[in-house]
Amino acid sequence: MAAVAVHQFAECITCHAWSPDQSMVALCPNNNEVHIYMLSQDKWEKIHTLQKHDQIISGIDWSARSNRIVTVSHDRNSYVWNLEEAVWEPTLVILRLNRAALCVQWSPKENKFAVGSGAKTVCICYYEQENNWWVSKLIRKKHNSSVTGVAWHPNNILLATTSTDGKCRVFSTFIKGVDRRDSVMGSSADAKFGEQIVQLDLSFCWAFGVKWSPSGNSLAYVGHNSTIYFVDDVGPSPLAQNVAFRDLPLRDVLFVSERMAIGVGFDCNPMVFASDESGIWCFVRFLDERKTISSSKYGSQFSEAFGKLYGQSKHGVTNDAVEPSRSRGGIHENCINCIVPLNKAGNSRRTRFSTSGLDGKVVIWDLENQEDLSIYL
Amino acid sequence: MAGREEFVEADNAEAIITRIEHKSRKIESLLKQALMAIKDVDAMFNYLDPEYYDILMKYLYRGLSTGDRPTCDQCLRIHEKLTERAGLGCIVRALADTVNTV
Repeated sequence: MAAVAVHQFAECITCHAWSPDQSMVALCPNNNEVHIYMLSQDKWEKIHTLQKHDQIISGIDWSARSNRIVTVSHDRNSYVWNLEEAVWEPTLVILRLNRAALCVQWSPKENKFAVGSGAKTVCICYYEQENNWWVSKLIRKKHNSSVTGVAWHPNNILLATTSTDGKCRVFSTFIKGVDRRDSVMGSSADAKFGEQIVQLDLSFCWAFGVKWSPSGNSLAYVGHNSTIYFVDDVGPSPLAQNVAFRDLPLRDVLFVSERMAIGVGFDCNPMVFASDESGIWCFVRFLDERKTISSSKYGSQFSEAFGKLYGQSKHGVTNDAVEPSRSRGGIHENCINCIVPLNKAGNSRRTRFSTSGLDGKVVIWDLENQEDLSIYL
Repeated sequence: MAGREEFVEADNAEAIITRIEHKSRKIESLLKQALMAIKDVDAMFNYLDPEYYDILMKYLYRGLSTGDRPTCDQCLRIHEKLTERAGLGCIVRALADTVNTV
């Protein structure tokens, strides 16, 4: 089995993040609180509740080295939480937004974080020592709609964003006094803060969940039209591929290696995408085996709905009660909207990751024993 | 002067709308003929490149929008077969695309 652990934490989970040693998980149970659970003797125990936000928390990220948690919420604010004597102390970050904050991510060096928002802007926040607070710098007037996803390039400067205007953009986030010039490589060396490096106009509808490959050479994002986009050589002349698939749209994506990516979304089952020797990406299979048998047929709810649609010939369907999106035979029973990598200590390979979704489960997956996929790792 | 120009423009717009309506009626009747000409749905799929599945789906929904009983029956027949082959993703793409409509 690809899934190594399943735990039901709540009715519904909007997002989750792991502590640096992966002994704790922080998640938002679809309200204004963050719950931190710790694994002790095979049981998950709630050890902290972070209460400060007024509305649903839409993004959590836990920094790996500095052990800080950043949260963003629909209340337009962000907090950075520091653990001081067993208590998580919040620091308010004023984002200067007039719409909800939607997503957040720490930069690789953990000296900045990026927030995407419904105000068509991206906030780059950094710590100012002399004033002892987090400052928010805005990238304005570049997005035509809400920013649904942000992803940091490994070089700590480039930031990729996706938006509901269907575009994926890459910006420079160079901040004087925070970043050094020598850390920037290649053509983006002279880019100022907020300068757009490239705009990818591949999708005609909402785009979600952008991620970079481990090397930062390529990126992937998903469209709401059941299509995933892979872009190589991100820069002045990018090479883009569209992969349309036969199932419901995705919400988020994660690279596990340069040649393999996992997509999660409305189909309740992670999808594996891989590129062959020539660099052509294609759909490989569903990760949750039980689904592969039934992938040529639809789940109960769909066949029932279609039965009605196709009508006259099929009088057998008399039950009018349409089941909710359950009993599809997979581990997740509803839309998966979050996928997070899990790195085992001393293991550079990213074979483990966790997913959470609207069914309130956190599932840990391991690709180690998936023989057919090992060639792509 | 300005008022007159606006009037001319409005007149133009009306003409354009009439032309579009005329064209869409023409497309509709062509579509009906084309769809009705398909007798053996399975045979049609055997020589249709999967690349065109998304486009066929869009035309099926266009056909359904006519509300004409025989056309809709035919569209649903093809729709069932097409969904078996191309999956729900094909329907999502047909509905989501607001730029390349038919």
